[in-house]
Amino acid sequence: MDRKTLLIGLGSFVLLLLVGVAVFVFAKPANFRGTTFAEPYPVASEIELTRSDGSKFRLSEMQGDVVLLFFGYTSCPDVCPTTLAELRQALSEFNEQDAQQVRVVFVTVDPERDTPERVQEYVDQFNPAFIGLSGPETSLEKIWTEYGVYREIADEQSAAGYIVNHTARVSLIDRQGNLRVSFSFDTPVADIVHDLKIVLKN
Amino acid sequence: MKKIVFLVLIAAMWLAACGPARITTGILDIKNPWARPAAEGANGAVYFVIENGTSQDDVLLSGRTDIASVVELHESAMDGDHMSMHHQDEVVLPAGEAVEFSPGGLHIMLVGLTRQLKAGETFDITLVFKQTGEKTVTVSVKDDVNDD
Repeated sequence: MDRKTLLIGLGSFVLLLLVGVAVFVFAKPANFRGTTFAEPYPVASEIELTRSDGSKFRLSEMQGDVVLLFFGYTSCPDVCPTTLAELRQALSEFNEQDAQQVRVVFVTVDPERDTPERVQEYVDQFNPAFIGLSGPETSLEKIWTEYGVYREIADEQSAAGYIVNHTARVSLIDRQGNLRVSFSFDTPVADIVHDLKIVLKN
Repeated sequence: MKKIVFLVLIAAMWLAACGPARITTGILDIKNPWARPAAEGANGAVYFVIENGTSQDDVLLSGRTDIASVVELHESAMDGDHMSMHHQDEVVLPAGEAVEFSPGGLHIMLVGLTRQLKAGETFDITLVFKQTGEKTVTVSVKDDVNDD
């Protein structure tokens, strides 16, 4: 191999390396591991529903805290419990003071069967600090649409009654009430912890 | 045509050689059965790995337990972010292979729990197989597969 070929080879290698580093640094602002929302960050739409204890829940009143928002239903035996267990696990990585600043909000996609009491009872199984919400279908439909939640009652029958197929993505809302990151179902707990640390610092 | 068959055979042999080692224990074994805590009246899910170490394919047909009114075989599937759950009539367990039942995939659905499942407790479930017949295993209730 002559000197010229070697130089071209080495030069292109260094160039590729630089491009790689640039892509890595600039494509992921704040280095979130979840799927990021682009700036300007979308404001999380208001969620206003009555809680099981009769009090009003307003998402806007959560500002100052970080919110992890998930849509599911209480007859769901697999994906919803897995997600809630993972969120609890993620919070257990933080000290009490930090963990209290992360509010987990679970909104039903099955208002026909899920009363506010039933949803709250369901999330209490994982952590009594989690907030479980249901309400009139018309209110919920608006919320599902605004958060881009797909939700469909399946034809398939089960002894459990009908199955609801739905979006299984957790959205992270920062202290200012903006959507920042979302996590797909297969996101490792460590990645959720990593991203929570970033938003808790701000 | 013969050439193609030959090539496919070679490719299959390669794949077989590269794939996970065949299980040749001679028995069908159910490893690490566990379930998450759940409330009475709710639905639960049981997970495990079935290792079919016998020389013939087997089929998981059904299950039963004292702690749920109905036991069903289900599989969750992800299409992008869309989660759907499908009722399975049976689950095929190929000879020499392990089939994993895990969160977000295959699971045994416990419909209508007759009692609360608390972490640290156990319950029995009987699984019915086409070849092996019935097998009863003790399921550990825990928050995560990695918990003791």
